[in-house]
Amino acid sequence: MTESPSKDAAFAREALPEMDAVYRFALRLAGDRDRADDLVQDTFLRAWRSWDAYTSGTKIRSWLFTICRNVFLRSEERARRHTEVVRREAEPDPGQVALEAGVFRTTREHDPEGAFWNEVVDDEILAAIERLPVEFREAFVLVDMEGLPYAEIGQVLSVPVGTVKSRVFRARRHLQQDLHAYAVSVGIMPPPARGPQETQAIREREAR
Amino acid sequence: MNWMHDLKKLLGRARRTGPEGEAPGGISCRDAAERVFEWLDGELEADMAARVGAHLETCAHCYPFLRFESAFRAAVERAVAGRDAPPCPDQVEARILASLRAEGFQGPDPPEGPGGE
Repeated sequence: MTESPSKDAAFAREALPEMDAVYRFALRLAGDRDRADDLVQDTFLRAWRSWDAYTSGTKIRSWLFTICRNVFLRSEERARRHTEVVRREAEPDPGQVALEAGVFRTTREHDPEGAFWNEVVDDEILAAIERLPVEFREAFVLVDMEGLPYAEIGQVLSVPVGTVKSRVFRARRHLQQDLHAYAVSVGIMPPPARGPQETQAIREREAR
Repeated sequence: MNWMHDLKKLLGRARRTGPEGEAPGGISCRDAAERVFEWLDGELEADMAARVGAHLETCAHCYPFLRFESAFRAAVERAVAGRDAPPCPDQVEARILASLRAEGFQGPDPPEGPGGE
């Protein structure tokens, strides 16, 4: 069957110019080029097959990101089906996460305004982004690298805006913890002072 | 309006060093800290953004937190800008077009762009 010329033209006009953006997103999700190549190809094939489901003029990039992410998650799931059960964590209150700013609390005495962030090398920051668990990495990539508004990210991830907020918070906190640990390991920052709980745990261990 | 901004900053600094008074911006430290990322991401409604901004920039307790989060953000921005992901490679693009054509796509090839964005 031959497709209608308008479908072909619309797909060429709206979807194909997004190939670089989808490739970039796929690369950041998957972390390696071979997988990104396959992801982008799958994404465009699926987009073409379900082009009727796309409403012309709406956010094409978000729609393609949604498809790309679904393809990625399915391939991830296949890879770990026999080894790991997907865990569902309750999303904590974002306000609580913001206040329990672990690294800020740890470093505020020594470096209250976080000047040490400027000494963390780019490679280490990018590596830490790649190490983020996928549910944090995708939120982080969409907000901090693609600059998408929370509402659009919600569409891509199929979650409410409140959940986007909480994942973005947690992703950044995660990244901060990771990079602070690095800063300590290379001597940019002093080792954190032990909190009362930890001191108590050590005491208990020693008493045994 | 620059002088307004300067004046606000000056007043803010005065308050930072002054005694604890009413909450800056008319909201509590907790309410402001909860919204720091939304504020930095430009996700707040204008009215709330103004209040949160006024609080974070003038509260002695919260100002370092704002500086801390801004410094982190700047470091991430710098790292990301220095390593932009490459554009979709030509051979991948060709493969995609071939597979689309095999499924009936008859439209034109995408225009030759500068690659990436």
